[in-house]
Amino acid sequence: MIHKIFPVAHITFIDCLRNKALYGILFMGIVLFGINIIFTGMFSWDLSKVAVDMGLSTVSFAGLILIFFFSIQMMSNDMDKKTIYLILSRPVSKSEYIVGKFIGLSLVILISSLVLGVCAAFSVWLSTMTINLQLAEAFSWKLFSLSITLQTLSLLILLSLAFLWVMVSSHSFTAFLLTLMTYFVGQNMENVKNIILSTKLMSPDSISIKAINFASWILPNLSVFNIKTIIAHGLPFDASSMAAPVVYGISYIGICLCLSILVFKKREI
Amino acid sequence: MVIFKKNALFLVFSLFLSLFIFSNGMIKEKRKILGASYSIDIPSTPPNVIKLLAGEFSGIIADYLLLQIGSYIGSNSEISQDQWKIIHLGFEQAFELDPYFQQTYFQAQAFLAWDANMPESAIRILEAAGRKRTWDWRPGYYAGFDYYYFLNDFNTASDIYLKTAKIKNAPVLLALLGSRFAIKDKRTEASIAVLKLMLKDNDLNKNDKKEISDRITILKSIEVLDKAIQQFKKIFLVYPSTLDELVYYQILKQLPENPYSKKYTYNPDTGEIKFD
Amino acid sequence: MAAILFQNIYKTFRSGFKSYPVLHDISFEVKKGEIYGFLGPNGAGKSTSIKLLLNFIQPGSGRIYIDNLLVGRDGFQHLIGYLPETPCFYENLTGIETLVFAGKTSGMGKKEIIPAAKKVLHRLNLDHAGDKLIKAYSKGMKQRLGIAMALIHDPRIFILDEPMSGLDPMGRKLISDVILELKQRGKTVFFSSHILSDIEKLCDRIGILNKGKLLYTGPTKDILEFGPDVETAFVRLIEKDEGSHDT
Repeated sequence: MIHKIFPVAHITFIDCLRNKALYGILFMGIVLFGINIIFTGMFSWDLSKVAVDMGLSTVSFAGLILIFFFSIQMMSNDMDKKTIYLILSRPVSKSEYIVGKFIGLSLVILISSLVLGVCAAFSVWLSTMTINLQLAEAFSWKLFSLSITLQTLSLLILLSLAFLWVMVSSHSFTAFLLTLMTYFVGQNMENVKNIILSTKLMSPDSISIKAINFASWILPNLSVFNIKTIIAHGLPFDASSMAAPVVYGISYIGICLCLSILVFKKREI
Repeated sequence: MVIFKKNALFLVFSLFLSLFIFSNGMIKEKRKILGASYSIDIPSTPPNVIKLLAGEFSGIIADYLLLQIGSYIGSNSEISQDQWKIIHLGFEQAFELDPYFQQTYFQAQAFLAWDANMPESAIRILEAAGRKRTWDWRPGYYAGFDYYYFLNDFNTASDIYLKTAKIKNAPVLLALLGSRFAIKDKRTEASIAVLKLMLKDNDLNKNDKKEISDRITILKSIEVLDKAIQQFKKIFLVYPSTLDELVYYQILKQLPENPYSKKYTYNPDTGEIKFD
Repeated sequence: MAAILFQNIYKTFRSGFKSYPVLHDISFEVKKGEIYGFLGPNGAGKSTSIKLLLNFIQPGSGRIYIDNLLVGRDGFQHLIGYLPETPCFYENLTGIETLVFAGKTSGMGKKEIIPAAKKVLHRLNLDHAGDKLIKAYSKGMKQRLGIAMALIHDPRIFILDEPMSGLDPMGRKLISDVILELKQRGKTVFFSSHILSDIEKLCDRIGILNKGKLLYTGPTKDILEFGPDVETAFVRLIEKDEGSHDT
């Protein structure tokens, strides 16, 4: 099985890497880092936090663009342009196709996060040199890297969901909208629930709370992977507490891919 | 083998599902204990930048920020100074996004001045709000209060009160207080007067009204205790070693009402009674 | 034993609440080592039949066998080489990379793939294009690369959907020669086409489809019962079928 998955992953990866749009996204990321340095220099307040936060946010932003405008398009093109015939007419099963494609696209996202992560670190370091920025006392490069790793995991979760939406819907635009909505709900779900519960607007037994609880089991809780604020402000943080979220992320990806395979098997191409 | 192959997808799915349920359960437990402490989501962008980024959505983002701040403070009893700094940034951002929003300066006054012990930060927002809401006497009123009550700066308080008194429909008392603060006076009495005025504000909600009346009660109680302590000193030539001695020695019939669960801070060496 | 066997195939497509029958009781066989031509007007159901053959879609009822393996239950892709109607590739890959992918997934060893790829590219006059990105290929080059992908792992059975489309006369001659070579080597070729002269030249047996029904299956020369040449016979058969629909 592995020896079928790898060629699919390989051609997906190479095809993406040679795509000019990818370079546009990376270039945009690098430009944003340059702007980061200029911006932080313009203001005299909480510079370190601005630089770190903006650096990490740029990595996230580029990853999101890769998913919404790149990955979904590529998957849909496979279906629409029937490139998929050339793969499935060979002894490659639908499962191997899905897993191979996912690995290929994941590698692209990993590389993008790595490249932009290094640029982010560099722009923060450069800010400390050029504008005499003082990093928060509890700041550490280890935690900075951990934040990027967690962000990347969150992107991979979104990618696996994008796969499912592409399989379920017939148009790339529908898949795009569904992925976008899932992203927003995933990021804000916990927040909204806490706000509603703490302002005591609704009783814990109300239907809305039950619905939110239900949604929090089905949709991914992406805010768990967002530790940008903690890193930027140098707040106390226990890295071992990230073990459960990592298992959560990986298992969620696994579930989405299994469901994608299931839907794909039923789908006529 | 064939059966295994057919059911491989089902087995893999079950494995991932089990891991997911287990890990999600752990995460929910952890985050329940921590309450809303992880959910304060204020980006550390400078307020002017956030204004740029918000574009046409600045209003709702301001609303969302204030809602978050309110619920975060409401659900956390222990907030560190660092976290207060983040909250302060949130207020500044909310103000930048919608400088006319009353909620912003109300909450800034309530939380920053009283709970966070950051009256200067509250004052900054109030003064800025006052500049925008030129028709509104309340920002100046609160700012003046903060200057005199927290910062002991009677002169600035007086200036602000007198200036604010000129706004149409401002209560006459502002002018009176402005002139009184020009002369240094006993803090507790004047504070009670200002707070009583605040209580008359119809725009306050139930929670705020209770806060203010509790404050009035505690200030009155401190006044009573202060007088009693001075009386004790006169009689016994030393300060009481505990507040209960005031009752024991019948200076007071009972200790005055304390609507808070926290106790007074009393220093028997100096006879100073404090309540934070 | 048949290389390809269709047994009572029915297929209906559904769109919303409406259903559209596309294939009606299709049964035919392709014998081992022969070249079988599949023809019919546009919309007859040729592409649908080929999609069913490749398990891209599933029949409503009936069975399809490839070399005695049941399509849909057994794996058969290692036995076949397929050319789609308009082959679409990953444009940012080179010809060689695409062929290497084809070889790897068909179970070829690392050492044999590159020589086989080069051999096949040479056979199809694509030596100069092997290292170029596919986005620089012309339509004809893409068509030939598609055939190269079908050839590289040297399968027993070839399923080609309109192999001559998009090719100039030189290209068509090249493909005809390749198909004849395959037959000489004992391979089975099943292809659909509109170009009746090619069918007449290459095919041992043919099947004629119209509106989802198989009008004729049998030796190419036997169709001349219906007309002096294949084209006339074909047209008459179709017209007769259309006429019987009208009455």
